Amino acid sequence: MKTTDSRNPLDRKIDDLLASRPLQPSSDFTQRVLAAADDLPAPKARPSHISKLVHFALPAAAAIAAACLLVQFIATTPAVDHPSTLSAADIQEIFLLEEGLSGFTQLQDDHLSSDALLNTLEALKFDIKS
Amino acid sequence: MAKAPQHNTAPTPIVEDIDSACLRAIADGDRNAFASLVERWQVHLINFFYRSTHNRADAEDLAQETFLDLYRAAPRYTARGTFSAFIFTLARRRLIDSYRKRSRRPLDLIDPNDYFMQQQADQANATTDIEEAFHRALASLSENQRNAILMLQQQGLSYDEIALALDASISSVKTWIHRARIHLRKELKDFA
Repeated sequence: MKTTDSRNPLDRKIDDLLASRPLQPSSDFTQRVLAAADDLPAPKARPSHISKLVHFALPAAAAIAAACLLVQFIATTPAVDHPSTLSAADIQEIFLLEEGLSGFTQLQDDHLSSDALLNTLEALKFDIKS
Repeated sequence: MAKAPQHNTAPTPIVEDIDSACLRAIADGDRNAFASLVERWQVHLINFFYRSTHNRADAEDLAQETFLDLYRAAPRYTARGTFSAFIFTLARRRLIDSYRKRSRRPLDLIDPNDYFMQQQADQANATTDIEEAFHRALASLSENQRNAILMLQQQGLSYDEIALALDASISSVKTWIHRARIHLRKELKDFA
């Protein structure tokens, strides 16, 4: 993209004007800048490679350690066992209840007999006591 | 520090130049390194700002603020591009900031004494007709066009560096420079 013609006097003049630096800094310019810089807090020294590494490595190490502890905790926690077998007393109780309920079905099936009802209840009472 | 203009689009090699080394020294607390950096770049920055402000005091103030930005940024500096691109990125930000502040400043806050001193300073900086016309023509360019053509021709930055400093693509930079030149040619045709 050529936009200038070096043989064109106007282009040469524009080039000269653009390239010119007509101002010289004031004599005290550097001193003013340095004085202003002195008023600023000193730039913090760049962190070393080790401190950069520590900056990232420490949180990562902490996270890994926490994860390990969590895994270990989960592995050692005893699982909540559901009773797989019932005790003999429980089985007996279940059996008696079933028997008692079967007695009630007989009552419903047949006509209501006070003797039969008493016998059933007595049988239940006896079984529970025993 | 005379720097030859580099009007090319080739990628700039990333090398540790003296200015980048100075900036590292500043980060380590070396005040002399900062002084030498100011000495080397003050003419560049002041004249760059002068072409946008047409005012010596403003140009020097902006240059000073840019140097202070550089001082603050020293610990964070990483040589991704060239130092020129870096310092003119800061300069451009300062310029934008000054436009913003100026647009917010109420007119009645201007001290009449300041105005009088300004007039005197302007008279002291009296320039030729073509200089005046050139300043008017530059002032009528868009900010991007003006910055791009000044960075190219006054500061000798490459297209890559200008694109980095203006946060734009190289093709945009070329377009801005092309349009700026056409505009300047049109505005200054009476001086041919």
